[in-house]
Amino acid sequence: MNRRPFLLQLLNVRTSEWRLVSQLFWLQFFMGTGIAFFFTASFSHFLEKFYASEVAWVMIISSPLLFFTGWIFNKFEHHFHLTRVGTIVIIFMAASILILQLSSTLIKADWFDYLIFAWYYVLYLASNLCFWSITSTLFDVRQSKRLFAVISAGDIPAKFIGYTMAYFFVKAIGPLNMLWPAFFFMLGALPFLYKLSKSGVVHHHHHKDHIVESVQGTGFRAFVKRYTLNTLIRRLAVLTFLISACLAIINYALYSEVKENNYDDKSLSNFIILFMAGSQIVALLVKIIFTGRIVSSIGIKKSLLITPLVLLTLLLIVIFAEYAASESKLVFYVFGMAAIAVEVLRTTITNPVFLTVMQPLNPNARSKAHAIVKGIMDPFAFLFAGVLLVFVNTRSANELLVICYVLALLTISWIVSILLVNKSYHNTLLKTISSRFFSQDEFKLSDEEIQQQILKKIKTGKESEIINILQMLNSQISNASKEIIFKLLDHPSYNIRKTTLLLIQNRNIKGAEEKLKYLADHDDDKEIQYLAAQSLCKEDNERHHQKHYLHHHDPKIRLAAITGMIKSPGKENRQRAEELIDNLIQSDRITDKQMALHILNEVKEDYCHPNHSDLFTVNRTLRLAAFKAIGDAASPELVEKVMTYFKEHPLNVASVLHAAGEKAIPVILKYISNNSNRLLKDKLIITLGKIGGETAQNILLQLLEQHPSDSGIIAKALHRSRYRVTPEKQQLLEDIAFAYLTYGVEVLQMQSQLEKQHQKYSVINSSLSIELIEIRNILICLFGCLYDHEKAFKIKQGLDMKKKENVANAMEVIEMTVKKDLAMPFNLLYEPEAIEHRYNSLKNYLPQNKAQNTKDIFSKILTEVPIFYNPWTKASTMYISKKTGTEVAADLIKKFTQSENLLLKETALYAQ
Amino acid sequence: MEHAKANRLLLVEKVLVLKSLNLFKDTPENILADLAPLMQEMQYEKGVEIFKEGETGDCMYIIEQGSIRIHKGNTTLAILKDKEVFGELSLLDADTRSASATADTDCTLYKIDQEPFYELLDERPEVARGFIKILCQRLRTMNEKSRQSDIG
Repeated sequence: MNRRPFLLQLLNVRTSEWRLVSQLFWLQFFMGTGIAFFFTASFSHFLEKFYASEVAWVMIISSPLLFFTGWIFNKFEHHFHLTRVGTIVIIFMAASILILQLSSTLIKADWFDYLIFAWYYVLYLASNLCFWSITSTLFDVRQSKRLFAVISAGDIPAKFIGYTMAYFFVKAIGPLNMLWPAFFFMLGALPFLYKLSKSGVVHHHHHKDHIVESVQGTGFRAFVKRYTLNTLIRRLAVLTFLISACLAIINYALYSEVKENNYDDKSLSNFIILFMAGSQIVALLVKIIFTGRIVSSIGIKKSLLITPLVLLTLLLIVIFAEYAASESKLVFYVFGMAAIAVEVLRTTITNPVFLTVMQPLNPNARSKAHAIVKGIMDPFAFLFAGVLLVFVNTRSANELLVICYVLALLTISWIVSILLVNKSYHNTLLKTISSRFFSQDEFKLSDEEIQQQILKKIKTGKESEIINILQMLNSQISNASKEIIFKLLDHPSYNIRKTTLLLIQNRNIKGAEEKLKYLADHDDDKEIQYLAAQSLCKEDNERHHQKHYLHHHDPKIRLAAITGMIKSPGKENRQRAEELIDNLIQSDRITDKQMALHILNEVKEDYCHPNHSDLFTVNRTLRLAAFKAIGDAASPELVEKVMTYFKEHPLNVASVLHAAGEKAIPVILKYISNNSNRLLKDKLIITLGKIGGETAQNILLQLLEQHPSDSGIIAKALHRSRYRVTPEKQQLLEDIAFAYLTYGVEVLQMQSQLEKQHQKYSVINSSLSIELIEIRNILICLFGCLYDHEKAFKIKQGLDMKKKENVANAMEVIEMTVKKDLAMPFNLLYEPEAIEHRYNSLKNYLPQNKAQNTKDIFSKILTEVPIFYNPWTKASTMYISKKTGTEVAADLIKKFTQSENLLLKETALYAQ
Repeated sequence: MEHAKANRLLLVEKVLVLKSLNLFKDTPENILADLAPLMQEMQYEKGVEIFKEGETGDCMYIIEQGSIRIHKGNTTLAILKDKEVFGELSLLDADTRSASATADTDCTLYKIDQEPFYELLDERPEVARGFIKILCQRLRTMNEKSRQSDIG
């Protein structure tokens, strides 16, 4: 019997990932076993000769060694392919073990024992750096959530084997001879690295592609800067420092306690071995079976908080016990429990989650994040812990109590640090999906110094800089800003003069008549002349300028004059201009009508001519131009007249309705109620969404309740209008979202059925994929209305990119934003996995009346229940039913022979 | 001889022809369904010139059956076979043909004219979006090739 499917399910690993996961597991297993043997050998040998308190000095000694190792690794990683770096590291580790083994027979000095123990930390760091640098480039954020626990579990059985063997053999062959198996196991990792290298899945980091993270220079400052530029990396560094320091202190405290309780060296090493082996077994079980699921179900933040909260609770118990209990062994046992719990939780939860947090970073930054977690902070943490422990050793009467207080303080900082990391993680995820952010600085013009600076900039600045200044001045018109704006009318740049004129016109700024007159009559550029004439006629109540420009020899200047007058705040000016425009509309000459349209187009946001619709009947071109010249100022009567052309020009009319805004809503509603053409109705519903505002949104919500079959398009329209759900409508939208998830699962089930006869029905399967994408888009719109429109937009962007990393990040945002009951099935439905796997995970969501066979599937599609399928899906279904001889009820096809859609009609006639 | 024939294929089948082309392999069928009605079936006998170098291009061709010789004078540049397209850029941008195309065997082609295609783009923005995507993909591929040749 093949047990693999059960094993894959138990470990939460997909079939396609199995090969890679198992290779990484064995790589980690062999390196981990080598390290475990080395630890057993070096640690038991050290404890045979020295007191546990000397471990503090080993920490201090190992600190510079670790720093140097991290630095060297970083250099290697920049220059070589990761698999080559891995090979170098493994050979280096094996060689160093061999050299230490051979040297141990010759060197008997104390410093050598300190060095061997300190070297354990170096090997541990080097193997971690090597392994995780490779692993972190292989998986996306969602895979890492599931898989890191399993992959990193490789070192747990390794350590268990190492410690168990040590228990039996350490006395027989002597501690230092344990370095031989360490050497061979380390070499045993090489074939697995070779296999990974041959598979070609490990990529070299493309440093040139990630300029943001790249910092030039090789000095210490550049080195530090490289790791502190990114907020997430910086916060991870602090968090790692705190965790490493806490763990170093806890382990030290436990060893000291064991000694203090009168254990001799032999029982002490046995205790350590059994303790380590036992905790590894618990860790293995928790890690493989629960970790992935815990992280998936409670999320990143809560997963990270488990370890410090458990530690804090246990520390409080230790502190309380220290004060309350006279029996010192009770304190020791409680403290032992704390050490085991933290060791297990760290290995099983904190470390894998930590690596998951780094996944949204690009591969280069991720590698740095990993180096910082495993390489750069450990030496500082060891130095800090070592110095602190030496200090406590020499100064304190009650060492354990002081250590407990220090640990409690560090643990509180650990919790705060997690909250900060979580915040950065969210921000990084969002940025990864889309980084289109911009901001506009504001300034205050009341400050004399700023005014002077702006005037200086106007003289010396580039065109784009000055236009930027104009845009900022637009937000705060005052006497001071007017002075600057008028100066810009003399600027040599055409673009600057034009922008200034538009600003003067739009903001009704007065006081520049002389300059405007000069520009209208003498500027080199015709466009500037028109704009200046327009501005003058707009403000001219004494008609002096109007008279001059309305009779100008240049017809465009005459047009500009009328346009200026129609924009004028004075009633008389507007009436006169309206008469002039009417003359143009009623003129027999097409050119006059075009001139009228030119004016109407320019003023469409502020003015609607009562005879505008007369232009609709001239010819098609003029009609479409007249549609374009309708804006926000359109009268309800005009909108109604435009609507009569909806069947003929659906897109153009929809644009007019959108431009007319809220006053188009009654007309739209009337059309929706009286017409059944689905395509046209959909266009109008979307137009309601584009118009937006409370009235349109209320209408859409009413439609949602009256026409549940249109819920998909209405959801899109609501999202388009940036509708934010109210508590009363929350349940309604959530129910609709859940219904669409169910429809999605139903479509998936159909695909799963059809896939079994892949070639025969591949066309329908492909159209069902389009249906699934449509359902996905509707769901994202609903998520936007229910939770956050911006995030919904970014989710869609990420999913549309179809790249593994972007899809994973988008799904991560869904998990953080959307209610769990909706987010989980959504992600299962759309994760880039095989149809069968997705369907098996979602079976529970399937409605009772699922399609049993191909005939059922075809009938469901053609019945259009519960969703309206795309015409292509229906057409391809009819076509394939005929081609393959699959029986379908005749009436299901017959109804499409009368369809307005040519594709459906033609295929139905063929298939009936 | 050139013949415009009454359409033999159903619209559904035309969509499937379009989908089988490399050019449209990533374009969803529901978008191709809008393009399919524009396909006119044409028959060409062996040796008939389909277009001449220097002519203004205003349509693209899909080879349903047969082979087409692309040439400059007597120099053959390429022989195109079934399910290949030529003149596709003329669909979006009228320019002179850079080479001539002649039927190498008796051929069945599908022709898509620029004007109805433009009208379709006006009416169905999603079709325009589909084509923009195709163009972007081509541009990315070319950029990538040029980047690699720069590195090489």
